Amino acid sequence: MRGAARRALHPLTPALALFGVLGAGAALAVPGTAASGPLLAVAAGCAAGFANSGST
Amino acid sequence: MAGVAAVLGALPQALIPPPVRAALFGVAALVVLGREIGLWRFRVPENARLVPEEVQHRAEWGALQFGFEMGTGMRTYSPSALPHLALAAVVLVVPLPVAPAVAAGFAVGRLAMPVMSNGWSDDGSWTEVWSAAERVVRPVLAFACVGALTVGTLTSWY
Repeated sequence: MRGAARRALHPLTPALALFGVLGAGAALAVPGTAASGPLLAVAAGCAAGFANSGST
Repeated sequence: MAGVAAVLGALPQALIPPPVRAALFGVAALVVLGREIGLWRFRVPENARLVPEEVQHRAEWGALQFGFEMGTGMRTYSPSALPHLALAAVVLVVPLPVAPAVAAGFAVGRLAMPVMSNGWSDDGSWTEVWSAAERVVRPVLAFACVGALTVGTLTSWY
């Protein structure tokens, strides 16, 4: 499990995943699209939470 | 924390015109972005204490107390100003119904680091990996956070 995690997880993975969420949020950020606001809010909170964690 | 900020934010959001609030948030976002990408340095409010390890061994709720205190910043350090910016956004520009989404995202992001650390190894080598990637990841996180909050603000969140 640990070895698999080492191979599968690059340190940039969370940041890239956040970019994906942000990109999806931006793509949905059309006036009247109900999901765009909460999606962007989750992306922003996620980036803040991850940055706040330091190394652990 | 986000819930309290959202309720407190109802007052300035009701009294201050949206362009003024957006401008205030914009200034804060630029200041924080500059800090995160290393243009300038300043201290951010933080408790600067660690939760004692023995807390997690207290009765059956010790682990919950440990996680709550560390996760909410009651007793922890803050290496980033992004949580403070998210809090400012909740007070100034994020509508009350959307504030829980910011909090949920924060919890997921806060959880991701220890999960990855545990999944990586149990010899502490994750810290070295993170240190090597930090110079790249921190600006990426800053642009992701500021970008998401800015797009949300400009599109009025709905």
